[in-house]
Amino acid sequence: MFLKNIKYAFRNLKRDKFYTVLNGIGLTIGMTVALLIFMWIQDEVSYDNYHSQNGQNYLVVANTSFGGERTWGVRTPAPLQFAIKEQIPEVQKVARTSGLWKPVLKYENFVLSVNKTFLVDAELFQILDFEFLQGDPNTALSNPNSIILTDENAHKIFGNENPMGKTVKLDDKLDLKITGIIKSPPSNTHLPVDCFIPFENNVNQYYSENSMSWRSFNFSTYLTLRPNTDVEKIGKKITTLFPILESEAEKNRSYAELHPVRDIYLGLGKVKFGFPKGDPVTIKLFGWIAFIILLIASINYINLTTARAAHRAKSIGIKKIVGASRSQLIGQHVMETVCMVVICSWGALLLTQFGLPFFKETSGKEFTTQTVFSQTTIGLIGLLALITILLSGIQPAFQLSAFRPVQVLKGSGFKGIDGKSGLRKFLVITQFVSSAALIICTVFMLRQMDFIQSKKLGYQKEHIFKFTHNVESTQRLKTALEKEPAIKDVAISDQSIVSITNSISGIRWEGVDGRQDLQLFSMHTGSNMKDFFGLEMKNGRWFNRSANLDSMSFILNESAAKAMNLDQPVGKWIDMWGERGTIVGLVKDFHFQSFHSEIKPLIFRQTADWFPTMYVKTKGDDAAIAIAAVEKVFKQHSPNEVFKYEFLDETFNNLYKSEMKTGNMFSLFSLIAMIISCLGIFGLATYTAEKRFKEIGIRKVLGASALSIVNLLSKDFLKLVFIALIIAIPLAWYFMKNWLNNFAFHINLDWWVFAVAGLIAIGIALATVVFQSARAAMSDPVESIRSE
Amino acid sequence: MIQLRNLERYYKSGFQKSWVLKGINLDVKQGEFITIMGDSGAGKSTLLQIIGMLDAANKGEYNFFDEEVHRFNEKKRTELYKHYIGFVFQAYHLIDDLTVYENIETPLIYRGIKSKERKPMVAELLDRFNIVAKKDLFPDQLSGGQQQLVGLARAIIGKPKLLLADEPTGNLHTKQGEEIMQLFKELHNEGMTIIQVTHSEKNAQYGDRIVHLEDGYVREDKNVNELLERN
Ligand SMILES: Nc1ncnc2c1ncn2[C@@H]1O[C@H](COP(=O)(O)OP(=O)(O)O)[C@@H](O)[C@H]1O
Ligand SMILES: [Mg+2]
Repeated sequence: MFLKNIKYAFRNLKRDKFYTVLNGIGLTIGMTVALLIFMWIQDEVSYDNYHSQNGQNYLVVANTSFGGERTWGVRTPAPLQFAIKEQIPEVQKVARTSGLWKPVLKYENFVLSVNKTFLVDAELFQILDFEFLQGDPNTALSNPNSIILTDENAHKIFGNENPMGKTVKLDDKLDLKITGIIKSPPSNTHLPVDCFIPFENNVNQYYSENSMSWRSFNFSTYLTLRPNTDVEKIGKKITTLFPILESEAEKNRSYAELHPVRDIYLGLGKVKFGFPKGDPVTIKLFGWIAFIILLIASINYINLTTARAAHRAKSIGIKKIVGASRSQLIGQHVMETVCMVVICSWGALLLTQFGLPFFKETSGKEFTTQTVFSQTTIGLIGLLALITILLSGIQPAFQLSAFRPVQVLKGSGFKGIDGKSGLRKFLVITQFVSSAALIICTVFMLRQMDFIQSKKLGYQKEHIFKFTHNVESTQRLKTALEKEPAIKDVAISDQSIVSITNSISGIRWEGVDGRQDLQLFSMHTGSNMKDFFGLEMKNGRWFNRSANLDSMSFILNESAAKAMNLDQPVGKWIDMWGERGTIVGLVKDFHFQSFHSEIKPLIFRQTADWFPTMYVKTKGDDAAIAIAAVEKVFKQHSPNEVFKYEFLDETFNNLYKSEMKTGNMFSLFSLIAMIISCLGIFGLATYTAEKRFKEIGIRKVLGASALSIVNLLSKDFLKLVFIALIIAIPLAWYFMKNWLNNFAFHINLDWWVFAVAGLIAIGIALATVVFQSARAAMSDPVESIRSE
Repeated sequence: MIQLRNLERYYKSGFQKSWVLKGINLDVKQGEFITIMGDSGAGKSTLLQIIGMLDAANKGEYNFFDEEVHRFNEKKRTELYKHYIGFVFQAYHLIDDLTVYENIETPLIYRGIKSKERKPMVAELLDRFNIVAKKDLFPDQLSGGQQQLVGLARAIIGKPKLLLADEPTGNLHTKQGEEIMQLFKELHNEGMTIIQVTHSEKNAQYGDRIVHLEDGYVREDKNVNELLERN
């Protein structure tokens, strides 16, 4: 019976080649997309799933008050580790980590940038899992002059030589002996690593006394708890370890919580900066899209199967008469679906394989062939196949097996079957509601991205690249660069103008009494900043050429003046922690953060002695010469550093990287949803034209024009698409309103965009249906009549 | 075996009912070979379908082996199709995508008979009906007579108690028709109960009883011998 069913299934699939292929394409594409999404989701939710201490290991996150705003952070003070160890017996292991600023490793003449280098307490290896290929995790960091490398980095430096015991130089100040080699952590970790060095004895090379105090939040603290410990209680206990930091006792007190390591990637939404972050909302969104695409493909299958049920009806009726039970018939039809889906699953696996590079470009996730044919993926495709079979196989099987044999015998037409077309219409509408809504959302997303890219920032970012450096005398480097002919201008600051994150608080100013809790974003820069970026002054002036003259001069942006309630800020004094300076200029507001947030108050100063960010404006478009020139000068001034530059356009785009990726994936999926939907109505239109072949012939003989026949054949479909559109528009409106709310600056939900997107949807559907209908309408009428 | 009492079958169209069968009374004993005759549209097929439980009466009683048929659900009917009733149709109604062999085999599959046991049963019938050579052909590659042989083989492979045939020779040449009727006769002799519908007086002679339908009633119900004598 089972084998027979498979045999018959294949025979049926072969006989209805056209529809089998149509269904096959739809299901294969649908399953491919769903598989890619599933793989993506699987990867997103698998972060840090490999630590053996999961369930007991936590990261300490701290909530601190900063300038009136309470923020969550993943950094804690250095003394916390010792305090926890001493005072909280429920904690088994506790370790600190701290990433270094632009670390560089040197071995003989080979220089390697090892950005992910951490100072760590050795207990970290008992909290998080790192696979030691060589060396002993318990002793590798016992000696302060030791270092652990990943196999990848070791290979880069030493090739096939054994790296153990070799001495390398870190940042030109530490001579370290390699005492361990770990495997590079998997990509799904919150903590990618290049090197580890011992925390004790080395930390003072990188942090001042002050940064090691309870006041300074610079270190991540990880710990493991004894089994069955009340996590919340430990969080509270840790809170009590923090000494009171400010006079206003309770208010400014920091408090701590424990966050499971396994959940750092997806669950730390409240923390703004720190580790790479996934977005649970996006995951859910894509999960739904995968389901919708599968549903759309399954609807094609259902509709194309049941629409053509008439030609199955006879054999079903006869089978019943010779004794087939309903369940046997259902089994037979489900088997047909199973065969179809199994074939498509293989197709999907292959297609996924081919689609990987493309998917990588869109999603930023890299999967290898091994991932595609891994157990997990095979499991996923199995699950997908099951869902698809349930979605697409069950309904037709039940509907087809319900025929009463007597209907068949009388040959009195299949009114009973056509009566079911209500369901079919509903399904077609469902398809087009989903795909039209997706298309409309795509259009708005693309428009928003376009808006972001074309919106005037209030400064010029073109032909400018930036790089960071460790050179002590910024001025000397700047002067050297200015001499290069390919370079137009050079500017300096303490951070990136694209995304200013430093801020200050606790200042006083003329007209207000006492210390204020106002938070001002703050940037240290030089005298040519204004002209370099084309900032516009509202009032007053920019800094003077000589920094000494202006060491206590401040420049505000409009938002700052407003926040400080200063109508005429220029000339007023500001008291910055006891030192008084003067506001010399008011600059027009410009966007120094992402469009997600409003323009915040900003103050410019030039008191810093360190300007690690440097901007270079190239002459004309030939940037390569300028870059080469900068690299040459850079090497002269800082031979041990690795030169890395980034154009501001790119930095800027990085602000919206996750939106761009989401947007890209979203557009791709919407397009595919639309294509699959169209495959479906293409099939239905073909079938309608086939069924009405004779009628069309007669009508033509009677003088009907081709146009009127196209109209006759297409108008039912267009009606459905139109209804779908009417439902899709408010749906899309709702989703987009929510999505755009993530941006402080966003486009409007213009009605005409809905109209255009809607027209696109109708247009695509029209083209699909009309193509088939026109073919039927053009056919030779005589032939169609004679053929009966 | 079969008792029909005041059986009515009508179709509703709008507010109007049009009767096909108005009050049928009929008794069929096991082993009988009955021919139903009547003008086109007299309701012969309808009656046959009701007897075969493909259709249901609107009113009246129908007992099959002393069980009330109108109480049967689909499952029970399927059981009866499987074990008691075989059908032969004027239009053959073979399954187009199955070969001759597979068509004949189908009822056995639905009965859950194992492949090993199916083979000899199908082979026997193929042999008996002289269609061994055609066993791998599809229905549209056969002549009408051959198709009907397959139809008959399929109907009787499950050894039904009752064989229902609706104009089995209607589409066939005389010679092919005779061949089929000869097989009916053999089956009858082996003890099978047969009810056939035919327009042909000659075919009617193969059976032992003729029922005439007219205006929805049984007009005449006679033994073949009686009729012969009267002529
Ligand atoms: N579904 C139906 N709706 C209305 N009338 C029907 C239907 N099926 C059959 N009939 C009518 O029932 C009558 C009997 O049909 P049938 O039993 O096929 O006659 P016969 O087989 O004797 O030629 C015919 O007049 C036919 O029009
Ligand atoms: Mg008839």
